[in-house]
Order: sequence, then C-alpha cells, then structure tokens
Amino acid sequence: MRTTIEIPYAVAVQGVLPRERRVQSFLLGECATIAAEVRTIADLRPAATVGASPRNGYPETVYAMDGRLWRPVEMDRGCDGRPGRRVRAETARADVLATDGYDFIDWRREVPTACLPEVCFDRMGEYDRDYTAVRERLLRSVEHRHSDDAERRLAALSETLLVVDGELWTECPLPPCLVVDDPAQGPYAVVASDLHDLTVMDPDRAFRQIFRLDRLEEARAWCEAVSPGADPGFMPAVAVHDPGAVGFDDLVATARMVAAPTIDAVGRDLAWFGAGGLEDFAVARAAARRLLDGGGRDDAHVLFEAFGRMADDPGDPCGLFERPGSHVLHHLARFGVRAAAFEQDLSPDLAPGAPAP
Amino acid sequence: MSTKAVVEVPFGTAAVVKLKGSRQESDALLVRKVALEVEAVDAARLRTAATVVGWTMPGTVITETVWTMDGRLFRPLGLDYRTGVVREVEPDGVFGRWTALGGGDLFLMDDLPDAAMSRRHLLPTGRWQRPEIIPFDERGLRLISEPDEAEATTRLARLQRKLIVVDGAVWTECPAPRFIADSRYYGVGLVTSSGVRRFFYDGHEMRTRAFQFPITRPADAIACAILAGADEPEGREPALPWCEVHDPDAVHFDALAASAFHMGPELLCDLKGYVAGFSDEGVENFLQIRAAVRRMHENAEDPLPAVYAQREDAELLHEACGRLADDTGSRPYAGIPLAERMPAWIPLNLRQFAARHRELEAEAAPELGLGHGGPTA
Repeated sequence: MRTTIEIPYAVAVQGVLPRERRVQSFLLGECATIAAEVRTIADLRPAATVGASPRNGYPETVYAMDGRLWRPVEMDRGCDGRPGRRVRAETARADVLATDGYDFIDWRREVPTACLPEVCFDRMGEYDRDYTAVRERLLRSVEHRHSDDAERRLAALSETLLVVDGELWTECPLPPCLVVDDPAQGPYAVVASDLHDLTVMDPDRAFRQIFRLDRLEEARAWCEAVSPGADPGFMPAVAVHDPGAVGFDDLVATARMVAAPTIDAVGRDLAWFGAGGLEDFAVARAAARRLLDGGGRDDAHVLFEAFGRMADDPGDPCGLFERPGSHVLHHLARFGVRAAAFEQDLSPDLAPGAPAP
Repeated sequence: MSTKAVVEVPFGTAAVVKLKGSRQESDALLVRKVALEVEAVDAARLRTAATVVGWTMPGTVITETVWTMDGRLFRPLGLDYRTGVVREVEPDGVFGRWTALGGGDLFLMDDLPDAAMSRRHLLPTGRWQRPEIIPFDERGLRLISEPDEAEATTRLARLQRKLIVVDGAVWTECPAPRFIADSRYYGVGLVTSSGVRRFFYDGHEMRTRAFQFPITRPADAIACAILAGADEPEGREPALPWCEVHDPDAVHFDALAASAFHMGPELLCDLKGYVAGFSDEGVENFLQIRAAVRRMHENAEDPLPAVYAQREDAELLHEACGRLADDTGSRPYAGIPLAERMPAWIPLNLRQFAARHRELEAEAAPELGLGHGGPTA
C-alpha cells in the first residue's frame, strides 16, 4: 500500500542577502509531497547489527526487505552513544523545517542523496559547503532557482523512502561494512548511515579499504601484511544475522570508491614515473573508467594490480621531475598487496557494493 | 707547426662546503688557478667568420665579430658584454682578472668556455644554478664533500683544447651566433656568440619557446616568427637584425638539434601537469619526448657530452610534439577530474615544433657546424 507524505526538500538558489550586492548560493527548505510505500516492522527482518565504533557511538541495526537494506531515519545522532530521534512520517516536514538553520546537515546524512540538489555536488561527488541553508524570507531576492532536477529527485526519493509503522525509513545506500583508514589502527565497523559520508562526501577516501562485515579476519590479515606488527586496534563489534543480505563485492566497492581520487592523486606527479609506470597508469585509468561505467571484479583487479606495479616503479632517470610523496607510493603498494594476496579465491558473483559517484 | 703557450685560468670544481662562521652547508664552486699548455697560433691563420649586431643579454645590444680557424669559431677573451669593447687578456692575466673582479661569476659574466664550470651546477632543465663561488684556498673553509676530480680531469682536457693564444692574447672557442625566433614578444632576435651561454643557461624565460637558427638562414627564422605570430593581430613581417657573414660553413649549426636541446627540458616541464589527461597515444608520445630529451642531455660514458650532435633524437622529439599537439585527450567521465586542459599556448607551441620539423626535414642533416662545441671540442 502506498500513501502520500510531506517531506522537507532542499532547493538550490542563487540569492542576494539584504544590504548586500553579492549573489551567493543558498539552500532553501521547501516541502514536497511524494508517494511512499507503507509497511509494518514485521515485513522487515534484521540483517546485521554493528556495535559502537570510533565513528558511531551506539549499535545500529539494518533490516532487509525484498533484497534491499533499510534503516530508520534518525535525527540528532551523536557520537556520544546517544541514539537518535526517529522521525514520524506526518511530522517529517516540521521536524526539519522548524529549526532555524534547517537541519540539512543531519538530513543529508540520513536520507538518500536525492534530497539535495545536484548542483551541490562537484565532479568528485563531494558536497559543496558553499551552499548554506537559509529561509527564503531572509533573502532580499532570489536570482536563480535550480529546479530542473526536481522531478528526477522526487521520483528517486519516492522509491527510497518507506513508512514503517508511521516512522520514516530509508534505503541504505550501502551495506554496513568494515573499513580500514590506516592499517596500523586496524579495521573498524561502519554503519550504513555513516558510509554515505565515508564513501561519497569524505575527501580523504582515496586510499581507504572496504571489507565485508563477515571478513574481519581478512581485513586483519591485510593490515598485518601492509604494516606488520602494528596494534590490532579497536575491536569492532559486529553481528551478522543474514549474511546473504549484507554480502557485496568488497574489492569492487573499494575500487569504485578509491579509483577517481587515487588516479587524481597519482596524476599530479605522473611525469616522474618511468615508461612502465606510465603504461600502468593508462591501464588503471581505463579500468577506472570501466568500473564507473558499471564494470566488475575483473576491472577492480586490473586497477589494483596496476597500482601495485606503479608503486615499484623506479622512476624515469631524466631527473627533471619530483618524486611523488612517499605516502602516495605506500598507498599504491597496499592496493597491490590486496589484489595479490586476498582476493583471488573469493566468489565474484555478489552484488557490486558502492554506487558510482 | 704549432707552438705552445701557457695560460693561467680560473677553474671551478663543485663541492659542498661549510664556511667559517656559518653553520650551514652550502653548494659551492671552488675556484683554483690552473696552468694550461695551449696552442699558440699566428693571427694570420684566423679569418673573420661573421660580424653581428645582437644581444649579449636581453636588452643589451653590441657589435661582435667572431673568427674562424679550421672550421672552429673563436673570439678574444676580455669582451665587455655591455659595450662590446675587447680588452685583450694576457696569458698570465686571466686568473688575475677574475680575482680583480672580486671573485664574481666569471663563468657567466665573462667568456670562459663551459668546461671551466662544473656540470653539477647545471640543473636538468639546463639552468645554471648559481652556486656560491669561492677560492679553493679561502680561509676557514671546510670541505663536506670532496670535489669530483675525475670529472675535473675531463673538463681540463676540454678546456685545454678550447683556449688558444693569438699573438699574446687569450682567445676562446665559442658557439655560433644565432637568430632567435619567438615573435610573440620579440620577432626575430640575434644572440651574439658571447651571449649564448647567458641566454640559454641563465634562465631567461624567453628561451623556453625560442627557436634557434644559424645566421646563414634568415628566411627560416622569419618563417618561424611569422608562424609563431600567426594568432597575433597586426602581424607584420618581422625585421631582421643586421649581420654580415663571411664564412657560412663556420657559423652554421644544426638548428633543429639546437632548438630541441634547449627547449626540450622546458617543454617537458610545461607538459608535466597535463600528462594524466592525455590519451594513451598521447602518453606514448610524452614518453618518446622524455626519452629523447634524456638521451640528448645525458651520456653515460662522457660526463661532458657533445652538445647538438643528436639529430635523430631532435627529429623524434619534433615528430612526437606534432602528434601530441593534436591529442584528443582521455575521454572525460564523471568522477575523475584527471588533468585540466592544456592552456592554448602549449598546443600552439607543439604545433610550431611540428611545422618547423616539416620545413627542415628536406634539408640534409648538416653536421657542419659546431654550434656549441662539436664532438671534437
């Protein structure tokens, strides 16, 4: 059964503040009416529970239904172990638009990207913080309203939002998983609601590794391989109730997440690499392009192997160019380690994981 | 039958030193006095090769005459680069002249051949690094690294061949004077023989896109200047500086190789930021250019490679430039920014390389001149 709900909805505008002449970018909160499916909690079964980790302060459970993952929308979540506040479907609009600063910070973290205008994201998929939320009555005038993507966005929202027992739920963009920022600190578990920030918004994602929740041992072994003798770090608390629902291809997910920023990072010092390194770069670039066009595991493997070979490149002897930073080469070597040692035996026929930016 | 004469010249060796009262190690050129036995020739053997009016430094124009003997070019030491007046230097006076200048940068400001300065201070881009220049017996000097004596021996032998004594005055072998074409700012310019090193080693920015031509080929220089200035409004035929050539063979050099040699490293540095955005073939072309530049500037057996002897590499480089100018780039796709587009002047410059090559292709590779120190030098 479907019902109509009112949800807060952000529109990007170019506007002018009172007593100013400069045209700036703003986000205006508006209200949109969309159709959403209505279910009860009995329709959903728990898929996995992720305990407290450095990135989230309290356990969170995601649910599976119809082969997709869902979780409740929660506002005011903190890292202090305090659970968030669930949002009732009938008050969703008031909840967000009542606050003076329009609580889009929480809102964009919680609901799918479609609730924000596309112009707010740059080519890398990063959120442009120039867009500040403001009330329309506080603007002197609105010069331009970016509204051409409204229909598409509302259609997407209508597909990815769910009303469960009167509360607003959303589809998870990614299953929860283990993430390694720094091999010396070990893997930590990340809930679905944080992954959005982690894989799309966060500029530091270039060299991060994603592992499936049921592969803690493998994540540990990888950390041990690239930085031997390090502290295993924080012990992630993870309970997988439905392995099928949270399964995804973590090599492909990692490759999709890191391909663009890593190629960008390496590309700056490309002239230093020798002939072999430049060829590997061309290979990696082609693989990244195929990955973002929907490629799969083979492309991820090719990408990581090419990165691994680039790390061993001795550089061109012409002496005209600077060597890339050692951390970049270290990171490239780590990709090679992962492609070589840990991924060959695993079944590639799972869902691909991270969406292309 | 030639006789010998002894000249006393300053000779620099690279070393890392710590000066008295200083905590910092610095890169220095230690200069000592060496006595060299060089050829003494009779003035009658030298013939005038050319007289030119050209730059010693951008903005400084003098009249300079170069002489030829056995296919090599010579000019007297002691030229004042601001006025063009030659004050001849006695064989035992070269070192004294350097000390009288207060230990200045004799190697750039005056006319000793390249062999007197250490190659270590020549950066890979071809720029002269301007080290601290100090006498080797300076008081309180501490050597952090030993000077490279093997390299110094090679250079001394070369220096010995490059200096001659003519009727009691020291003369030096010199590169040929040349036209410079970079019409965007200067039209066709003329660099005197004594200005060549300052112009190309001292990092004047104009050289990075300036093509060189022997003064025997003014038409090529004009054609290139017109080509380079094709996008400028009010393109006029550039004026040609005055020069008088008596011995065309002696002042001739391989223009293609000379330009490639001096422009190659700068060109690579220009391209460096855009490699990530080239198509696969473009990356291949970049590799070829880089390899050609490296071969031109490096020679494993000889620490002082003969310059401009690499016609084939110059041709490779020019051809690759032509292909790179039309590079379509890697297909842009959402999510990967790769490199920005090249600014318009880079493809323009690459196209000029290609056009020049097409023009000069027909010409048989002339190994005549010693543009700048031939293989025997």
